[in-house]
Amino acid sequence: MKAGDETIALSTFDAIRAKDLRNEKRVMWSEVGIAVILALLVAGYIAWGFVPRGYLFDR
Amino acid sequence: MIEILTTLCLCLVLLGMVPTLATFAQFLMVGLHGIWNHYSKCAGHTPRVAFILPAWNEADVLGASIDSLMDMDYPVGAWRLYVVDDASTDHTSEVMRQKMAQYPGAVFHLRREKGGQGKAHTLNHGIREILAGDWAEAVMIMDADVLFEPLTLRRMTRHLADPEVGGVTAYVKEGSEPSSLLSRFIAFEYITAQAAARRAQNVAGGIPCMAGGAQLHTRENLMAIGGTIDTSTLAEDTYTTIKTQICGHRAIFDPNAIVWAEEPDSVVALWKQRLRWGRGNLQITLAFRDLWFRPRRSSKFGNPAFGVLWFSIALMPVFMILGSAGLIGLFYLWPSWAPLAFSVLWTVTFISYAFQTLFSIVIDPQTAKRAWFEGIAFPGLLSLGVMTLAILGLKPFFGSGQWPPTGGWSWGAIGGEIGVLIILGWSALSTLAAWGVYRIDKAGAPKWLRNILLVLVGYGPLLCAISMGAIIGQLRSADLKWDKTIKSGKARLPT
Repeated sequence: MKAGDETIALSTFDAIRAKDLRNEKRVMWSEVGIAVILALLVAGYIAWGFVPRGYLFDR
Repeated sequence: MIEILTTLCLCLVLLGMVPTLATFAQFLMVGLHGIWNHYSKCAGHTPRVAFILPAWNEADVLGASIDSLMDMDYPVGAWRLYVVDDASTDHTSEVMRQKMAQYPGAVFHLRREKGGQGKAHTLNHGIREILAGDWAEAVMIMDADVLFEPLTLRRMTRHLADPEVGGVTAYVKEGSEPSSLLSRFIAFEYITAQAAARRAQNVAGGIPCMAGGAQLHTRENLMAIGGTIDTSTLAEDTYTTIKTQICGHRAIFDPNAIVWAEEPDSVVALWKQRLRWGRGNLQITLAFRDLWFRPRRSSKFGNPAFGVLWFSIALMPVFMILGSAGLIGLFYLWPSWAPLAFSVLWTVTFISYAFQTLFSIVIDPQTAKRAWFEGIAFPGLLSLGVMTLAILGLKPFFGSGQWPPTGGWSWGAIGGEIGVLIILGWSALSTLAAWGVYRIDKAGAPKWLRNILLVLVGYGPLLCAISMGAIIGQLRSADLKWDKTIKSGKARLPT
């Protein structure tokens, strides 16, 4: 990659990269959020299985 | 003896969970791409790129593809397009004459007089011409129907600033307008299989496939892999990708570099295309048999995690059948364990499905906006019903949460033994049902009927059924023929 190798305006390159990095961070934090919500739901579902039958509603 | 058989059945149920757990684990790695990505090694790098577009009777889509390239934001004169015409019999030559006159010095027409040998042979004709000269510093392999967004090439070439990188691929999105149920299923599938899975593969350090619709290679890499594309398999893009990495170069997926393509609009056409991919991948499994699960041969592909992922996808229907067989075996051998095993297997499937669907919607909200329903219906409404049954502990159908006793055969009630066997065997039966949808589509059934059945049975099981067809085809050594997917020029760049 020597001859013909042009360097685009740094501002353009940086702008594109900054936008793409923001998108990657958005994806990452979205995953964390979804994983936390699902983990809480699964924990609740499992905990529900340990509640003695009739304990909550029949008293 | 019963103990041994019961243990075997439990193992089969666990095996049935392997594809679900493997893809779930892969999805959990996706977010790490926010930390471990290749962007820090990128630079504003614009090498001279030669596009190779193999074309056989693609006159209907060629013009739009060439025009989309002209709108690219890339230095003028730093890229060229070589259309390799595989002895087309339509008006490709006429379209090319027009385009060469319209874009002098940028578009070239290479014609093979004896064609029909397949994409790899056509590509090789172009690669030979390009490598014979010294103009090209990088080569972009693309498909005739692929439309490039203006910044896509820049986003791809920036990775080549890192001398370790040999190839870069883009996110291929389904862009048919007007869309159909099937094209939206494919659009959602591509979020999971490309935007998500390939981010995770970047993190893991090895990509099994750079999409053949947008595969950028450095000249050095093309020379290193032999200067030609392999013609011995039906999945030349996967072969080239693995070879690139075996030769010591990195393959990178850039999820923000986007191209748009037209995908099949009938189950029959999809079956034909995916059967070719599936059989190609099985051929590659054999071609690189020395690599799998042997870390010393290749650190990337010899990695056990990579091997599990590769085989769980390539052999997914086999795992499904084994899982179903295990559940049915348990029902007869150890009835009290069957409901628990069933609930665990399908609850895990549901958790994985819920996570992947929600996350996919967030990863690509633009696609999810038009394909959210297809995302939800991906496994099929019937499979969602089975998942609900598992989550609710079987109570909606069996009040006590226990299966009806064996020996209670009845066609009438869902709670009878036949109903139980259908539910236990559903992951295998859904594959069979999806094959039925294909047969119905092939028989010329109306589109509305096909669509209803597809939503009920699911797109995921359809892909499984095609994989099963590929496995059976390979085992029977059925004829291998390059079968092109017909494109009609429906893909559009978003405005």
